[in-house]
Amino acid sequence: MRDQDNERPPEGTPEFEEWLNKRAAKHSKDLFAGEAADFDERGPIFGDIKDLGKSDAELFPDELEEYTPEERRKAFKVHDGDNKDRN
Amino acid sequence: MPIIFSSPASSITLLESSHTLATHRYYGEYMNKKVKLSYPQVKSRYQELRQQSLGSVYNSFPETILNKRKEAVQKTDISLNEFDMDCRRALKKWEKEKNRRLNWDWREIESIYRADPRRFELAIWYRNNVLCSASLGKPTWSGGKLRLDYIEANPAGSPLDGRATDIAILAATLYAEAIGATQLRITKPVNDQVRDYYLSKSGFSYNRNEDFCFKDL
Repeated sequence: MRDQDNERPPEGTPEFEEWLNKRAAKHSKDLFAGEAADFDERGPIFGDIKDLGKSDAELFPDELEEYTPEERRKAFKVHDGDNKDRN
Repeated sequence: MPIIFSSPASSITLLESSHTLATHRYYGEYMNKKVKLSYPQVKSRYQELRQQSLGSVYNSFPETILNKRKEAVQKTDISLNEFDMDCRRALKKWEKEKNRRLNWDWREIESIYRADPRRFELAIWYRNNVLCSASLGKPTWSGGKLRLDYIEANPAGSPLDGRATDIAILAATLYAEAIGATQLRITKPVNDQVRDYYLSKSGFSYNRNEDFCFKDL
Protein backbone atom coordinates (compact mmCIF):
# COMPACT_ATOMS: atom_id res chain seq x y z
CA MET A 1 0.00 0.00 0.00
CA ARG A 2 1.27 3.47 -0.84
CA ASP A 3 2.14 5.84 2.00
CA GLN A 4 -0.57 8.42 2.69
CA ASP A 5 2.11 11.17 2.79
CA ASN A 6 3.18 10.17 -0.68
CA GLU A 7 1.08 12.61 -2.71
CA ARG A 8 3.59 13.67 -5.33
CA PRO A 9 3.44 17.43 -6.09
CA PRO A 10 4.12 18.68 -9.64
CA GLU A 11 7.78 18.61 -10.65
CA GLY A 12 9.69 21.84 -10.71
CA THR A 13 7.72 23.41 -7.87
CA PRO A 14 8.99 24.28 -4.36
CA GLU A 15 6.42 21.80 -3.04
CA PHE A 16 8.05 19.01 -5.04
CA GLU A 17 11.46 19.84 -3.58
CA GLU A 18 10.04 19.92 -0.06
CA TRP A 19 8.24 16.61 -0.63
CA LEU A 20 11.41 15.00 -1.97
CA ASN A 21 13.38 16.14 1.09
CA LYS A 22 10.71 14.68 3.38
CA ARG A 23 10.73 11.37 1.52
CA ALA A 24 14.54 11.27 1.71
CA ALA A 25 14.44 11.87 5.46
CA LYS A 26 11.94 9.04 5.91
CA HIS A 27 13.86 6.51 3.81
CA SER A 28 17.16 7.56 5.35
CA LYS A 29 15.83 6.96 8.85
CA ASP A 30 14.52 3.52 7.83
CA LEU A 31 17.72 2.44 6.11
CA PHE A 32 20.23 3.73 8.64
CA ALA A 33 18.34 2.30 11.60
CA GLY A 34 20.44 -0.44 13.11
CA GLU A 35 23.92 -1.73 12.44
CA ALA A 36 25.89 -1.51 9.21
CA ALA A 37 25.65 -4.47 6.84
CA ASP A 38 27.50 -7.52 8.16
CA PHE A 39 28.01 -9.22 4.79
CA ASP A 40 31.27 -8.93 2.89
CA GLU A 41 30.68 -5.75 0.93
CA ARG A 42 33.75 -5.97 -1.27
CA GLY A 43 32.81 -6.46 -4.93
CA PRO A 44 29.47 -7.05 -6.68
CA ILE A 45 26.47 -7.01 -4.32
CA PHE A 46 23.47 -7.10 -6.64
CA GLY A 47 23.22 -8.01 -10.32
CA ASP A 48 24.01 -10.71 -12.83
CA ILE A 49 26.12 -9.95 -15.87
CA LYS A 50 24.19 -12.61 -17.82
CA ASP A 51 21.11 -10.34 -17.58
CA LEU A 52 22.85 -7.40 -19.23
CA GLY A 53 20.65 -5.99 -21.97
CA LYS A 54 17.66 -8.20 -21.13
CA SER A 55 14.27 -6.54 -21.46
CA ASP A 56 11.71 -6.31 -18.67
CA ALA A 57 9.62 -8.96 -20.43
CA GLU A 58 12.57 -11.36 -20.30
CA LEU A 59 13.29 -10.63 -16.65
CA PHE A 60 9.67 -10.47 -15.47
CA PRO A 61 7.70 -12.65 -17.91
CA ASP A 62 4.51 -12.65 -15.82
CA GLU A 63 4.10 -8.86 -16.00
CA LEU A 64 2.40 -8.08 -19.29
CA GLU A 65 2.44 -4.32 -18.67
CA GLU A 66 6.23 -4.46 -18.99
CA TYR A 67 6.16 -5.95 -22.52
CA THR A 68 6.96 -3.60 -25.41
CA PRO A 69 4.37 -3.58 -28.22
CA GLU A 70 6.73 -5.72 -30.32
CA GLU A 71 7.10 -8.26 -27.50
CA ARG A 72 3.33 -8.34 -27.07
CA ARG A 73 2.84 -9.12 -30.76
CA LYS A 74 5.32 -11.97 -30.49
CA ALA A 75 3.76 -13.30 -27.30
CA PHE A 76 0.16 -13.37 -28.52
CA LYS A 77 -1.16 -15.05 -31.66
CA VAL A 78 -4.09 -13.50 -33.49
CA HIS A 79 -6.64 -16.14 -34.51
CA ASP A 80 -8.33 -15.40 -37.83
CA GLY A 81 -10.57 -18.45 -38.06
CA ASP A 82 -13.68 -16.29 -38.76
CA ASN A 83 -12.07 -14.76 -41.84
CA LYS A 84 -11.26 -18.19 -43.24
CA ASP A 85 -14.89 -19.26 -42.86
CA ARG A 86 -16.05 -16.23 -44.83
CA ASN A 87 -13.68 -17.00 -47.67
CA MET B 1 -1.60 13.86 -12.09
CA PRO B 2 0.35 15.70 -14.79
CA ILE B 3 4.05 16.13 -14.22
CA ILE B 4 5.41 19.64 -14.71
CA PHE B 5 9.04 20.26 -15.46
CA SER B 6 11.17 23.05 -16.77
CA SER B 7 12.49 22.98 -20.28
CA PRO B 8 14.96 25.56 -21.58
CA ALA B 9 12.21 27.48 -23.35
CA SER B 10 9.14 27.00 -21.24
CA SER B 11 7.31 25.00 -18.65
CA ILE B 12 5.74 21.94 -20.24
CA THR B 13 3.32 19.53 -18.65
CA LEU B 14 4.12 15.90 -19.34
CA LEU B 15 0.85 14.26 -20.31
CA GLU B 16 1.69 10.71 -21.15
CA SER B 17 4.25 8.50 -22.77
CA SER B 18 3.55 6.17 -25.64
CA HIS B 19 5.76 3.67 -27.31
CA THR B 20 7.28 2.93 -30.66
CA LEU B 21 8.88 -0.40 -31.40
CA ALA B 22 12.17 0.45 -29.83
CA THR B 23 11.83 3.65 -27.88
CA HIS B 24 9.49 5.63 -25.72
CA ARG B 25 7.89 8.80 -27.03
CA TYR B 26 6.91 11.46 -24.57
CA TYR B 27 4.11 13.95 -25.02
CA GLY B 28 3.55 17.15 -23.15
CA GLU B 29 1.23 20.13 -23.18
CA TYR B 30 2.35 23.64 -24.06
CA MET B 31 -0.06 26.56 -24.59
CA ASN B 32 -2.97 24.07 -24.51
CA LYS B 33 -1.50 22.06 -27.36
CA LYS B 34 -0.20 18.51 -27.27
CA VAL B 35 3.47 18.49 -28.21
CA LYS B 36 5.98 15.71 -28.67
CA LEU B 37 8.97 16.13 -26.40
CA SER B 38 12.37 16.03 -27.95
CA TYR B 39 15.09 13.69 -26.76
CA PRO B 40 17.04 16.62 -25.21
CA GLN B 41 13.94 17.65 -23.25
CA VAL B 42 13.43 14.12 -21.92
CA LYS B 43 17.13 13.80 -21.14
CA SER B 44 17.16 17.14 -19.37
CA ARG B 45 14.10 16.23 -17.31
CA TYR B 46 15.58 12.99 -15.98
CA GLN B 47 18.99 14.52 -15.41
CA GLU B 48 17.36 17.20 -13.31
CA LEU B 49 15.46 14.58 -11.32
CA ARG B 50 18.63 12.54 -10.77
CA GLN B 51 20.48 15.60 -9.49
CA GLN B 52 17.57 16.73 -7.35
CA SER B 53 17.13 13.32 -5.74
CA LEU B 54 20.86 12.98 -5.04
CA GLY B 55 20.79 16.40 -3.36
CA SER B 56 17.86 15.39 -1.15
CA VAL B 57 19.55 12.09 -0.25
CA TYR B 58 22.75 13.87 0.74
CA ASN B 59 20.80 16.36 2.87
CA SER B 60 19.10 13.47 4.67
CA PHE B 61 22.38 11.92 5.88
CA PRO B 62 23.17 12.10 9.58
CA GLU B 63 26.29 14.16 10.36
CA THR B 64 28.28 10.96 10.93
CA ILE B 65 27.72 7.46 9.59
CA LEU B 66 29.15 4.41 11.35
CA ASN B 67 30.72 1.82 9.06
CA LYS B 68 30.92 -1.92 9.83
CA ARG B 69 34.13 -1.37 11.85
CA LYS B 70 32.21 1.18 13.96
CA GLU B 71 34.35 4.00 12.58
CA ALA B 72 32.56 7.31 12.16
CA VAL B 73 32.58 8.74 8.64
CA GLN B 74 31.79 12.43 8.38
CA LYS B 75 28.96 13.36 6.06
CA THR B 76 31.16 16.08 4.56
CA ASP B 77 33.65 13.43 3.40
CA ILE B 78 31.03 11.71 1.26
CA SER B 79 29.91 12.82 -2.18
CA LEU B 80 27.26 11.42 -4.51
CA ASN B 81 27.86 11.85 -8.24
CA GLU B 82 26.86 10.52 -11.60
CA PHE B 83 29.44 8.56 -13.61
CA ASP B 84 32.30 10.69 -14.96
CA MET B 85 35.84 10.10 -16.19
CA ASP B 86 37.23 9.79 -12.64
CA CYS B 87 34.62 7.15 -11.89
CA ARG B 88 35.44 5.21 -15.08
CA ARG B 89 39.15 5.29 -14.28
CA ALA B 90 38.50 4.01 -10.74
CA LEU B 91 36.22 1.24 -12.05
CA LYS B 92 38.95 0.14 -14.45
CA LYS B 93 41.30 -0.24 -11.47
CA TRP B 94 38.78 -2.49 -9.72
CA GLU B 95 39.29 -5.04 -12.52
CA LYS B 96 42.81 -5.64 -11.23
CA GLU B 97 41.75 -6.34 -7.64
CA LYS B 98 42.68 -9.90 -6.63
CA ASN B 99 39.83 -10.28 -4.13
CA ARG B 100 37.08 -9.29 -6.54
CA ARG B 101 34.32 -11.93 -6.47
CA LEU B 102 33.15 -11.47 -10.06
CA ASN B 103 34.79 -9.83 -13.03
CA TRP B 104 32.29 -7.28 -14.24
CA ASP B 105 33.20 -5.00 -17.11
CA TRP B 106 31.66 -1.69 -16.08
CA ARG B 107 32.43 -0.10 -19.44
CA GLU B 108 30.21 -2.70 -21.10
CA ILE B 109 27.49 -2.32 -18.44
CA GLU B 110 27.50 1.46 -18.71
CA SER B 111 27.29 1.35 -22.51
CA ILE B 112 23.90 -0.40 -22.25
CA TYR B 113 22.44 1.91 -19.60
CA ARG B 114 23.79 5.12 -21.07
CA ALA B 115 21.37 4.73 -23.98
CA ASP B 116 18.40 5.22 -21.64
CA PRO B 117 17.89 8.88 -20.62
CA ARG B 118 15.76 7.71 -17.68
CA ARG B 119 18.55 5.63 -16.12
CA PHE B 120 19.68 5.74 -12.51
CA GLU B 121 23.42 6.02 -11.99
CA LEU B 122 25.45 6.66 -8.89
CA ALA B 123 29.08 6.86 -7.87
CA ILE B 124 29.71 7.21 -4.11
CA TRP B 125 33.03 8.84 -3.22
CA TYR B 126 34.97 9.27 -0.01
CA ARG B 127 36.96 12.52 0.08
CA ASN B 128 36.66 12.64 -3.71
CA ASN B 129 39.45 10.12 -4.14
CA VAL B 130 38.12 6.71 -3.03
CA LEU B 131 35.29 5.31 -5.12
CA CYS B 132 33.22 3.39 -2.55
CA SER B 133 30.42 2.10 -4.77
CA ALA B 134 29.01 2.25 -8.30
CA SER B 135 25.48 1.38 -9.34
CA LEU B 136 23.23 1.48 -12.41
CA GLY B 137 19.56 0.88 -13.02
CA LYS B 138 16.59 2.04 -15.08
CA PRO B 139 12.82 2.29 -14.93
CA THR B 140 10.84 -0.61 -16.36
CA TRP B 141 8.99 -0.24 -19.67
CA SER B 142 5.81 0.99 -17.97
CA GLY B 143 7.82 3.38 -15.80
CA GLY B 144 6.04 2.03 -12.75
CA LYS B 145 9.10 0.36 -11.21
CA LEU B 146 12.75 1.25 -10.94
CA ARG B 147 15.18 -1.62 -11.52
CA LEU B 148 18.44 -1.28 -9.65
CA ASP B 149 20.38 -3.84 -11.65
CA TYR B 150 24.05 -3.50 -10.74
CA ILE B 151 25.65 -2.50 -7.45
CA GLU B 152 29.29 -3.05 -6.71
CA ALA B 153 31.26 -1.81 -3.71
CA ASN B 154 34.99 -1.19 -3.85
CA PRO B 155 36.55 -4.69 -3.97
CA ALA B 156 39.53 -3.47 -1.93
CA GLY B 157 37.22 -2.13 0.78
CA SER B 158 36.53 1.53 1.62
CA PRO B 159 35.75 3.75 4.62
CA LEU B 160 32.06 3.16 3.83
CA ASP B 161 32.26 -0.63 4.21
CA GLY B 162 28.89 -1.86 5.43
CA ARG B 163 27.13 1.33 4.35
CA ALA B 164 27.92 1.79 0.67
CA THR B 165 25.10 -0.47 -0.55
CA ASP B 166 22.67 1.13 1.90
CA ILE B 167 23.46 4.54 0.42
CA ALA B 168 23.10 3.29 -3.16
CA ILE B 169 19.71 1.79 -2.33
CA LEU B 170 18.62 4.95 -0.54
CA ALA B 171 19.54 7.05 -3.59
CA ALA B 172 17.73 4.68 -5.96
CA THR B 173 14.66 4.69 -3.70
CA LEU B 174 14.48 8.45 -3.86
CA TYR B 175 15.03 8.59 -7.62
CA ALA B 176 12.20 6.07 -7.99
CA GLU B 177 9.98 8.41 -5.96
CA ALA B 178 11.11 11.40 -7.99
CA ILE B 179 10.14 9.83 -11.32
CA GLY B 180 6.81 8.62 -9.94
CA ALA B 181 7.63 4.90 -9.77
CA THR B 182 5.79 2.93 -7.11
CA GLN B 183 8.31 0.16 -6.55
CA LEU B 184 12.08 -0.27 -6.27
CA ARG B 185 13.46 -3.62 -7.45
CA ILE B 186 17.01 -4.65 -6.66
CA THR B 187 17.78 -7.56 -8.90
CA LYS B 188 19.83 -10.68 -8.21
CA PRO B 189 21.42 -10.45 -4.74
CA VAL B 190 24.84 -12.15 -5.00
CA ASN B 191 24.25 -14.38 -1.98
CA ASP B 192 21.77 -15.24 0.80
CA GLN B 193 23.49 -12.95 3.31
CA VAL B 194 22.87 -9.92 1.11
CA ARG B 195 19.26 -10.94 0.49
CA ASP B 196 18.57 -11.60 4.18
CA TYR B 197 20.13 -8.31 5.29
CA TYR B 198 17.73 -6.32 3.10
CA LEU B 199 14.79 -8.50 4.03
CA SER B 200 15.45 -7.48 7.62
CA LYS B 201 15.07 -3.80 6.64
CA SER B 202 11.75 -1.99 6.87
CA GLY B 203 9.50 -2.45 3.82
CA PHE B 204 11.64 -4.91 1.83
CA SER B 205 10.35 -8.20 0.41
CA TYR B 206 11.81 -10.85 -1.88
CA ASN B 207 10.47 -12.38 -5.09
CA ARG B 208 11.82 -15.92 -5.14
CA ASN B 209 10.73 -16.77 -8.71
CA GLU B 210 12.50 -13.87 -10.35
CA ASP B 211 15.17 -13.35 -7.70
CA PHE B 212 14.85 -9.71 -6.70
CA CYS B 213 14.37 -7.74 -3.50
CA PHE B 214 11.72 -5.05 -3.70
CA LYS B 215 10.18 -2.24 -1.77
CA ASP B 216 6.79 -0.65 -2.48
CA LEU B 217 6.94 3.13 -2.18
